Amino acid sequence: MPFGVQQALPEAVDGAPRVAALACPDCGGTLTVREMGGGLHFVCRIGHSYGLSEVLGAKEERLEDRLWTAVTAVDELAALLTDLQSRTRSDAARAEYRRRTEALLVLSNEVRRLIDTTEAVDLGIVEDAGTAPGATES
Amino acid sequence: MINADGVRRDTIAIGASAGGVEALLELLRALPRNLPASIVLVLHRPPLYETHLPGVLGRQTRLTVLEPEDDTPIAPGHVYVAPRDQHMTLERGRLHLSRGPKEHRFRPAIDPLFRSVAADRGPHAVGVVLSGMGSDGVLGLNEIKSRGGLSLVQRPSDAIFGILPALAISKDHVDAALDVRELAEALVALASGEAVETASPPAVSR
Repeated sequence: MPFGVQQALPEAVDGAPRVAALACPDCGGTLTVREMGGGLHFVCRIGHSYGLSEVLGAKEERLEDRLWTAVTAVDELAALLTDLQSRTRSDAARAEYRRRTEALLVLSNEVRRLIDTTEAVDLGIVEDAGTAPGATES
Repeated sequence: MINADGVRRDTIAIGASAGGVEALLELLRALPRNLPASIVLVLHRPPLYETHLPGVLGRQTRLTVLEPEDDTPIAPGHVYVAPRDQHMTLERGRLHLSRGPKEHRFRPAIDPLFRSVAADRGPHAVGVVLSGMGSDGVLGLNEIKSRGGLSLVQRPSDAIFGILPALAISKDHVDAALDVRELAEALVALASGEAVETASPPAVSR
């Protein structure tokens, strides 16, 4: 079992707000969660508030943003290494730049493919289902 | 007068943002079943909700409205609506879908569609921008113009949000700014290669 926090929601959820292991989508602050009106309701330290589908939607968007950041990081490094290939007089360095560049291009295509084939959570289904408050089902 | 050279403008690319649904419904209602043109459409829409947009639009028009799958060829009398969370582009007469980077923070976005229609159809393209905010579609209209196509916008005073059509007008590459009824009439005439009488091009505000 890796060291770290495995859960996002507290064991029991009822009308009293409890701290969740989730960051506020708008400001990064700590989210609390409570049951309200038959659904989960999240509020952060300074007052950003969300229903469940809104948190899920924001987290899905954030995930995609981070994947694109990875693509940018990969492509930028590959571009730098490519430029260096034509500017070095060292055969060893050129070979090393080329080796790494080829690996990065594979990685770039793979992350782009993952983004392209993503099917994020359908929020319509989430909202239709509602949420049963309380403890997790055994 | 526009289209004095009598080109058949048979590929209509429409972009609509905030406030554009009402104009879109009215526009589609006014088009005939035998329109000799294909319509490809981007409406800014929420990425994570499955809505029944083609059904809603389809009830208002005699044209056939659908969300295409990847690699769908376009045909006259049809309205192809970009599905949620994907860019839709036209290449060699076929529509392609991709989950590429958002443009203007939207996906589907208007610019990618318009750029592809400009490249694929050249003078046969008409770009139409309806109500909205922001700038998605402005550069796309410019692309269509630069390849010999025509550009129309909803008259800003006729739009719920006139910012987007007004921005396009200010870039000085709009052929006509019309209300929705006039837009429908113009598109029908242009699809058959007729010229259309319009007021002189909108004044450029700098």
